[in-house]
Amino acid sequence: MDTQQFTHPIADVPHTSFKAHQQQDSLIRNKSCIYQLKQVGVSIGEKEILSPVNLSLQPGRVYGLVGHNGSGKSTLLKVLSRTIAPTQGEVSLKGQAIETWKSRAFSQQVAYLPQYLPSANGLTARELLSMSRYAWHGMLGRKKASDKQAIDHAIALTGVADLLERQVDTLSGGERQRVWLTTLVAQQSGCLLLDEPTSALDVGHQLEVLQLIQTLGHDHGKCIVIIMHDINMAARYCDEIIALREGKMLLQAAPSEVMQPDVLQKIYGINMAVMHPEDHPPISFAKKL
Amino acid sequence: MQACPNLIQSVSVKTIISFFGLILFTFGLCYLSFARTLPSLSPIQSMWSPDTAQIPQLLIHYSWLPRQFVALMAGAGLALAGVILQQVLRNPLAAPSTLGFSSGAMMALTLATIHAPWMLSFGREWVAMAGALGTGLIILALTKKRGFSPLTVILVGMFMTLYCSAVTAVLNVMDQKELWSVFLWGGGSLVQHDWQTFKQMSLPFLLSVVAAIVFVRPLSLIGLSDETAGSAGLNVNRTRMIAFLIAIFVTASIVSHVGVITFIGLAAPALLRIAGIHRFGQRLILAPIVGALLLWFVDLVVQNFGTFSGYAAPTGAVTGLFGAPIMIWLLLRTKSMFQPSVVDHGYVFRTQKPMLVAWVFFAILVLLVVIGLFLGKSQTGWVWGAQALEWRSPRVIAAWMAGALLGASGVIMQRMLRNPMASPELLGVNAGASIGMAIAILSGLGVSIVIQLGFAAVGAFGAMMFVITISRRSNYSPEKVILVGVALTSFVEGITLLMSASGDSRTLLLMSWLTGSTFRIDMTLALLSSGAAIVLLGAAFACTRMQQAVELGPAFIRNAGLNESKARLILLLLVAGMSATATIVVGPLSFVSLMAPHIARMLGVIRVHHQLLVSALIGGLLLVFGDWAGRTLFYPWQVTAPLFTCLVGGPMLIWFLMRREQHAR
Repeated sequence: MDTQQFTHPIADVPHTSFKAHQQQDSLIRNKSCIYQLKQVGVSIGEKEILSPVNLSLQPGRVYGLVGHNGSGKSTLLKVLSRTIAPTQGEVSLKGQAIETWKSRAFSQQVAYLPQYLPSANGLTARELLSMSRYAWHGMLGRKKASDKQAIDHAIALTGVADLLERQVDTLSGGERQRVWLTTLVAQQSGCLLLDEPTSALDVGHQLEVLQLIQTLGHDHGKCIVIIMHDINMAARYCDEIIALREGKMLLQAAPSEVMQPDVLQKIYGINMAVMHPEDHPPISFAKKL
Repeated sequence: MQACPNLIQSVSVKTIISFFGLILFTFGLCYLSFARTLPSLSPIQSMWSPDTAQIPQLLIHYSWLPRQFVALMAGAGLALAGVILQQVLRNPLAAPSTLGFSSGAMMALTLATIHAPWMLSFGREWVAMAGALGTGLIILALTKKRGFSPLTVILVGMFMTLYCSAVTAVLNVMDQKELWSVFLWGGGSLVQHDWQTFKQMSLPFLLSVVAAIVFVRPLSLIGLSDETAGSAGLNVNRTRMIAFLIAIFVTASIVSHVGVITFIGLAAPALLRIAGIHRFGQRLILAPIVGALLLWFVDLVVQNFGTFSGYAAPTGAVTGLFGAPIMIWLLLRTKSMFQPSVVDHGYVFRTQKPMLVAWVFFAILVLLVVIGLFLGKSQTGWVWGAQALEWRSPRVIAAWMAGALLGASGVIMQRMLRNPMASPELLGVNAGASIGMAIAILSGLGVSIVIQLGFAAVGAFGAMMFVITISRRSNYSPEKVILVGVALTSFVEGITLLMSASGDSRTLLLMSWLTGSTFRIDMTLALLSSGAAIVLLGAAFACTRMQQAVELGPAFIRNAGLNESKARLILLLLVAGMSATATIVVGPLSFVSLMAPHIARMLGVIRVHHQLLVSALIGGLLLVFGDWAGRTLFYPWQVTAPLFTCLVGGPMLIWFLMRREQHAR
């Protein structure tokens, strides 16, 4: 009902108002973008879950996907990971329509961490990790030294070495999340799609994991899309924020643009305020209803 | 969640209209059978106060009317038990017939008929009731220590079903003639002569309905997960026990009066799930109604058209025959389907040395092969020697290979469908093979074993294509494959039961094949099957990584770079190939493929390739032993290998189950 009211002013948010962002923008245009979405929408029956979205995602950047519950974040991520097919529009990965990619080639490009992690049915973390390289060695291919290296490297990056011999399903929620994240890192895909990968982590581990994700984006040139509920963390670690509201894309902008009371209010539909502490990025908080 | 389609969205108007058409058709049938019994338009009062001078009026009052009521009540009661069991065990394959209550009744009746005929003088229904109740209580007693956890109850229940059926079958082999009446009873007949049955059935039925309604809230909660239900303030174990008691009680009262009717308990709740009814409260109310209508419909078809060559078909036998098409028709009409929650495993006991377990089983297997080849029995006693090698070796080889195939295919199936009750027979392969064999034998075309087996192979292939075609639309999702398999299997069960109950002498041949047999195997067949077994087992080991990825679910399949539906299809085809080969060699049997994977798991063999290996070895040794024991221990009778396998393997499973308990806690 009040979406109308919100979408309008957002369209006016000036994308060119920030100099830094403008520079980055022109820089990126020269690079080839990984994902290109044209008018991509999903509806089930009559109900539109994701209204047509235009989006382009670049390598080497971390995108934070934010929005209220049921805003279509997970749906968008599922479209990107080919878990569901969009009912309209087209998604291309590296210039090639997403549905034409061969399964293995696709997963060498894209790895997806779902929100709900499946039961590993008795497997230890090490065994689970050993399967993360399937996209590279295939059904019968020999496991090469590079496979082992990739796994060892991923273990070192996420710091799960202590958990390797434990059964995945007996780990704590946060430990499980880190183990599953490790499988994605070991998969060495160019794109990581993460559905709330830090939801069960304590603050310390959240920082660690987000730092790692930033490193993977900036130093390893990966394109990372991450769904987050903590807007402060998202603003701190993401290069760009993509905000959805009631199935519609509100904006794609730099964190500094998003961390404004009025913008946040449009995203979450509640009264928000932003503090600007010294030596620290701005912090937002919800005011009383 | 808003995304869940509700009833109106998932079922089209056309479907609803057709459904009402079906109900109208049922009433039409009802009128037809009424008119047939009562030719002239007599006063309607004859239904409750018949003119004792007129036979048709007596028939209406004492036979026709009670039959309709008993059919409705039996259908409702079985559906009630089914919906409760599926809710508590969180498994779409749970039902009174798959958890042993019905087979328990059948076994008790068979035992009583042979060994204690005096017991029957108290009334057949009390013996059957004791059997059903006894089996149910044994299941509860065996699973009490583990808090009636779903997986344990399912395992013990399945074991009970198979075990009781095996005992019944063994008794059948030894005492064919006397048991004919039991066999007919097993087919589930709704024929009534007075109001006695109705009166005896109604009290337990009403009590169960009341109990179920009283417990609707705890039962709804328990469908989520033990943790959620527990934190909501529910005594999980006690609720489960009460639910089982209700299900056992209502099933026992029905089975004891009308015999074994298998399909309803599974199908009625399934139909509601297909129709997209999520809330347990609604399913609990609707399932008995659907079950009652379904059984009534089938029974009316039987009343009107069910007389084949002067012999009235038992309703239970044909429930699947007429019920399954309805289920498949509905399955074709739904796209999205509600998935019951998957069993969460938590801590799993694992052995440090899975290969040691494999070597131990291999050693036992070799020992058994040697015994099978050289140790025999004659009138004078045990004989050791190579004199019968020529006849024994094909049997031993074939049993070994078939066992290995069954053991391995069970592993693939249970992992792929993420269901501990899944077995390759869900692919319809066994069912199709049985039909092919039946046609070959009964049409007289199957003059040689090769032709008969050819028919079986064609049937297996056809059935498999059927299941695969129907479940293709939903990308071979576990839930759909399971339901299509259940429907097809019940359909074929109906046909074979009907054939064997028809009293045709050739059906004895069919029966011997249906219970599994290694009697007629020659060297060519044995070598052919070993060739096929080696290729198929090789393929199974080659795609262990794929199996593991498929088990971990859609996201993981994608991350592994696999195409989900293609991967599932490959595995389904592989299982079908394995199951078809085994079925053609030893006949249709599900014990090994159901149980061998669980035995391996209980020994702590968890990883795919290890479990495949150990399960294949266990399957092989079970069948080799079964074949040997079957032809020696009951000499001069020959008990078929699979039956014996079950008699031996069952206790083994229970023992492992109890042993693991000490490990886990």
